[in-house]
Amino acid sequence: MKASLFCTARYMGAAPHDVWPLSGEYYSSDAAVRSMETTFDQFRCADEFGFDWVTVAEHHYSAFSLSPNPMVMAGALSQIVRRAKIAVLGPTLPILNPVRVAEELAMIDTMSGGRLVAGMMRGTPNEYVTYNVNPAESRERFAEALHLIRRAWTETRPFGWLGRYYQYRTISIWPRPVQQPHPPLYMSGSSPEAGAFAARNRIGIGFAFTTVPLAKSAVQHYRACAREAGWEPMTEDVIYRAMFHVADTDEEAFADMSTLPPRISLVDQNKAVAEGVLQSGYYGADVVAQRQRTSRRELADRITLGQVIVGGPDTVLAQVRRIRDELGAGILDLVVGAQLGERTLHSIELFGTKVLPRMREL
Amino acid sequence: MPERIFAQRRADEGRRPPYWEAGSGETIVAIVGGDRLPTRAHALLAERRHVMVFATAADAGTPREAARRIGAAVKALGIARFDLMGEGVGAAAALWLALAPQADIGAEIGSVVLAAPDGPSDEAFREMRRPVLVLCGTKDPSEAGDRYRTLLPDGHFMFVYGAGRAIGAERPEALAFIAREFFERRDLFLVSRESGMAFP
Repeated sequence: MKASLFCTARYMGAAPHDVWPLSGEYYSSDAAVRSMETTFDQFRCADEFGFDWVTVAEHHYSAFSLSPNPMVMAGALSQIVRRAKIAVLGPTLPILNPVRVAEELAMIDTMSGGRLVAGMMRGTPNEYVTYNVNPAESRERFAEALHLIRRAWTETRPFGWLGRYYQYRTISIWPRPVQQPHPPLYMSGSSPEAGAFAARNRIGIGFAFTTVPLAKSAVQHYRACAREAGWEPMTEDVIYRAMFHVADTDEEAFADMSTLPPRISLVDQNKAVAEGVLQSGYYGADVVAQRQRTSRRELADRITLGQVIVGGPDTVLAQVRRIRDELGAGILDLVVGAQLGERTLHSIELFGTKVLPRMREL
Repeated sequence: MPERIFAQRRADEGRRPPYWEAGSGETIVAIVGGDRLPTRAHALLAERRHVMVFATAADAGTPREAARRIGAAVKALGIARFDLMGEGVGAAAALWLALAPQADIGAEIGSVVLAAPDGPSDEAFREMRRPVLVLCGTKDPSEAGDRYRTLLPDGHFMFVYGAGRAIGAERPEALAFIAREFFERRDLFLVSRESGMAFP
């Protein structure tokens, strides 16, 4: 089993973490610069201590993440992180220009010497407000954009595209991906529709801020759909994301995490957005489970459900083993749980030196 | 039903192949495979252009022979100029018609749109000198796109998302839109004329 470090580039100044969109009145450029430096330090640390991947993602208008464009972050990481793969998990495909996404990801693959992992996401629902895109169209936009990006990466002669949502008279991207035929692809597998789509198109799946029981059911669905499509996913085709914090002892780790406020999903930070997205049909057939996975919970419940991994190295390894056994996931995407300066860097080091070597044997 | 706006006719007192006709303005000659009827794509084109739809019926022989018969019908009608669209098997006949000497058809041919071509020979493609746009559906398993782009280095090639081999039936709005753009503007169709303005 492999590990990735996901640092969201959380804003480290004083600002509410339960409001979307967050007003710029709270913004301090000094704090933002410090946040970016901290983020890069943590990614460097992960690379040094053996993490297999580093992860970046796209979020807008929030202190939760100063990375509205993960391509920019990944471009910087291609020069800072020398060994680990760079997982862009990912661009919010339906709200972006897919040709631009294909070009930028090909740039990152080239700049990193073929270390790109390309996640194609529908994103958190509030992002549709960001660029004024109707969330009801998100699945169709996503499917078309993904097919177009694959074509842009693999077609060696110019071609035009006459889509339902996208139209281009001629496409011929430069640079092209180093990895052939294209970088490994992942998408969210949380909903039944997404799992079936990923299986039909031979794409890996990932789970972010869900629970182990929900993810387990979704992985079973994905594997069943893949068998119907005539292939068997490998463990590396499944990514599971959880918040983590490791200390020398369980007591220290729990004490560190006890300061952590309950997580409120970005969409639930704005009632009008949450209701509007719900009415749009964004969540698909499995709406109850989709809403349930982002429910507000206390730390103890989040640990039980596998949303947070916390403790000393042995305790953390046991939690990781459970995820591996229940899901068959091959990649654990670890989100920095608490921004505690040196203790956070120590957490990354401990995971890399005390947990990861044993995790590889799972 | 699109065919309701089309009237069936025959040129030269019934001695020429039948065709379906609708609309007014500059002429588009559309050739469809077998005995297919006009599609919604043809109806949309007929909103602004004079459209004549010929079918390469099963007894019409080779695509080259079908092209000869259709060319003779166009000549008998006295059409001075037309743009040409072929779909499926009809695209092979359209390609041969585009290669015919002007004296044989008595008309100048403008631009050519070939949708999911089925059966045209490499020889015909190589001889082609007119502006050509080739369309292939993304669900078309033939993967012929590379071949067309090799044979027509100066042509244009587009994928039609979500379509198989019956582009006119599966994505009629898309086919009609791009065909009209190409017929009107030839190579300049590469540059969009659509407004991106949200509100004036």
